[in-house]
Amino acid sequence: MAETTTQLKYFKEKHIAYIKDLGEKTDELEYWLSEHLRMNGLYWGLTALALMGSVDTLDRADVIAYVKSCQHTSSGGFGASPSHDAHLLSTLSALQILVILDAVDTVDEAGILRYVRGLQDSTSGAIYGDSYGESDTRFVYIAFQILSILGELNSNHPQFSVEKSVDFIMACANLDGGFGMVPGAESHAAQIFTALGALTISNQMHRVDKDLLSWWLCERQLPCGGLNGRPEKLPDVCYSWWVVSSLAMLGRVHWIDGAKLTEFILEAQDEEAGGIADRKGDQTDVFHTLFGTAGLSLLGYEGLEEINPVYCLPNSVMHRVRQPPATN
Amino acid sequence: MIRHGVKRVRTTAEQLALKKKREAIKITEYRGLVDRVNASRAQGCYNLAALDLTTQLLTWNPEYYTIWNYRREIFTEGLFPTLPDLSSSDLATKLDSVQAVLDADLHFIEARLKQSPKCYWIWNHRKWCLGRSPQPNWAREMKLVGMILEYDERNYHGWEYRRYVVRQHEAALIKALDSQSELDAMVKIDQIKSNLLRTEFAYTTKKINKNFSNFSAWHNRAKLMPQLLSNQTSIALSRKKQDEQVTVDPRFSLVHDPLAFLRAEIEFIRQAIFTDPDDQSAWLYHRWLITSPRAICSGPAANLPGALPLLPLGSTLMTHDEEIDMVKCEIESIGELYDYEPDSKWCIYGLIFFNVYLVKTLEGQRAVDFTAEFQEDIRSKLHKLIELDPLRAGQYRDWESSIFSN
Ligand SMILES: [Zn+2]
Repeated sequence: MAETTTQLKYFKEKHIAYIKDLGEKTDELEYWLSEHLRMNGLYWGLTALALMGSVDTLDRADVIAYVKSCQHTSSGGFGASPSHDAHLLSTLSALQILVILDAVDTVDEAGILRYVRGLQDSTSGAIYGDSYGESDTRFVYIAFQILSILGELNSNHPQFSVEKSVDFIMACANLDGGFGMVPGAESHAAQIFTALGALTISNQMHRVDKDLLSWWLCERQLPCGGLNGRPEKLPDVCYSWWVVSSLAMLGRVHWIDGAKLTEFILEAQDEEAGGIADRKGDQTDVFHTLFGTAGLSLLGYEGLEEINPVYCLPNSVMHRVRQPPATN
Repeated sequence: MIRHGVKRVRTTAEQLALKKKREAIKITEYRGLVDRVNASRAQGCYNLAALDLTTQLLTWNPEYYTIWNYRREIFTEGLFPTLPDLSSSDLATKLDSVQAVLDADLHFIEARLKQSPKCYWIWNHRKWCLGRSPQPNWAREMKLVGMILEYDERNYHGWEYRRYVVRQHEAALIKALDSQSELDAMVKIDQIKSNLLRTEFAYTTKKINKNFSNFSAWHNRAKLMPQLLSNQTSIALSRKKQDEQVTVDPRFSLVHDPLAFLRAEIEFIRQAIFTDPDDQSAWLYHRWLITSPRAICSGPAANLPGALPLLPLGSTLMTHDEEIDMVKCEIESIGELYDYEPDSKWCIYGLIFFNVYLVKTLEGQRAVDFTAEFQEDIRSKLHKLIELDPLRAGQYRDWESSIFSN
C-alpha cells in the first residue's frame, strides 16, 4: 500500500452510514431533483459499499425490485427511475448492480441486448445514448461492457459491429495520445477512461500510444497530490478514478505519486457526516464517495476490496462477467 | 448526487429543521409539477399547454432528460404536423410555423445554457432543434458559441459545439451551391472550406495570443492544420503576395509551402515556450509538431485538375536530413532556454526527449552505440528530473531503463 505522511484515515463506518441514509432523504428537495440519476446513484453507492465489504447494508431484494421496475418492456433498456425514459447510462448502472448482487438473470437479458444493439450507427460505428441522443465515446464503452457482461460481444453480429465502434474510438484519438468525446474533441481524462475501457474489453489496446498517453495522464497530478482532468484545470477527487484507472489499464499507476493522491482523497472526506467531496472542505456526494474510494482501492489502500479498473466493479464479482477481455 | 465546487456548511439542528420546513413546500410544488407533466404525457397530450408544462419543469430542472424527450414528442407528434415550415410574415411573433416554434425553443435553451453551461441534455436539445430547423441560422450560433468561449475559454461543450456549428454551416453552404458542372462544384466546395478553415485557424491564433495556456485552442489548431495545408483554395490564395488575408494571420501566406508553414509554426510555439517555460500546453503541442511532420502536412491531396497536389499520399514533408536538422535546431533552442532556466523541468524533459528521439528514432542508433558523454548527460538530466519533479519519479525511472535498453 502507498504510505501516507498524515494521520488521516479512511472513515469506513461513517461512509457506510452515509450511503445507507441516502435512500431515506425524501424530505430533501435534492432527492427529488436527482431522480434522473437514481439508478447511477444506486450503482455508485452499492459499489462503494462493496469495496468496503458491506454490500448487505442495502436490502438485496429491495434493490433488485427497484432495478426491475426501471426496465422498459418495449425497448428493453432501463430508465433512471420507474417513470423515466430508458438510457444507456442507466442501463449499464442497472446491469452493474445486478452483477454485484448476482441477479442478472432476474431481468430481461434479451431486451437489454436488443436495446444496446439498436443504438449503434451502422455507418460510423458511433453509439447513441438513447433514441434521441448524441454519440459519445462513453456510450461505446457502455455498450461493450454490457455485451461483455452478457457474453455477447461477438465480432460479427449482424446488428452490431465491434470493429466499427473500435474505429469510432480511434477516430477520437488526439495529438496528446488521449481521446475526446467525439472525433475532433479535446482529450479529457473521463473520456480517456471510457476509450481505454472499450479498447481493453475489445482486446485492442495495441492501438494506443502508451508512453505518450501515460505522459499526459501523469501530468494530471498537481503539487497538492490531486489530479485534474485536462491541462490547467483544478484537481478533483473523481479524477482519482478516471486517471488512475486509465494508468492501471496502461500498466503505469506508478507514474504518479500514490501517497500524495491518497492524502488528497482522504482530506476530502467529511469526517463527521461521512462521504467524500470533490475536494477538501466541499460538500460530499455519493459520486465522489465512490470514485474517491475506488481511487484508494486502485492505490492499494488497506482494508478496501480490490476494484477492476476496466469495469469499475469489485474484482470479487468479475467471475460473473461472461466474456472478460482476453488478457484480463 | 454530483456536486462540484459547493462549499460544505455545517448547520445547527434548528437551521436544519427550518430548511426542511421550507423545502417541504418546494417538494410538494415540484412533485405536483412532475405528476402533471407525467399525466399529460400518459394521456398523449402534445399541445401548447403540454409544452408549457415541460417549459416549467425544465426551467426548474434541466437535467430531467425524460422531459426533454417529451418536449420533442410534443413538437413532432403534435405541433409540427399542423404547421407550415416557415411563417408567412416576418413580423410573426406567434408560434405559427415550425421555424417559429424552433426559434422560440432556441431562445428558451439559451437561457437554460446560461443557467447550466455543462448540462449535456441542453446541448443535445439545441442540436436537435437546429437539425429540425427549415432555416437554421448558423451565423447566430457562431456568435452564441463565441460568447460562451469568451466567458469560459476552456468550456468543453463550447469548443465541441463550435466544431459542430462549423461542420453544419459548411454542409449548409455546400447544399445551397448552384454549380454548372462537377468541376465547378469541387472548386466552390474547396472555396467554402477554405473560408471556414482560415477563420477557425485565425480564431485559435487569437485565443492562444490571449492566453498561451489555452490547450483547447492548441488542440483545435492541431486538428485544423492538416486540412488547411491540403486545401487548394488556401494554397492558391497564399501564393498571391500582399493578399488581404495576410493581415489576419501571417501564416496564411505560407500555406502553399508546408515546410515554411511548419517553420513559422515552430517559431510561434517557441514564443509560447519562451514566454512561460512551465506551461505544459505549449510543450504538448511542441512535441506533436516536431515529431509528426508527416501527419501534419500530408493530408489527402485534393484531386482538382490543374492544381498541384500538395504532397502525394505517403510521401514525407521533408527529407530525412532536413528532419534531423529540424530536431537539432529544436535541441539547440531548448538548450538556450535551459541556460536561463536550469531548473525548468519542461526544458530538461524536452532536452532528453529530443536528444533520444534524434539518436534512437531518427538516426537509428542502439543504446550500445551511445557515447559515454551522451549517456552521462542523459542520465544526469533524468536524475535531475526525479529531484525536481518527484511526483512523476516512476515515469522517469521507466524512461531511463527504456532509453538504455536497445
Ligand atoms: Zn468531480
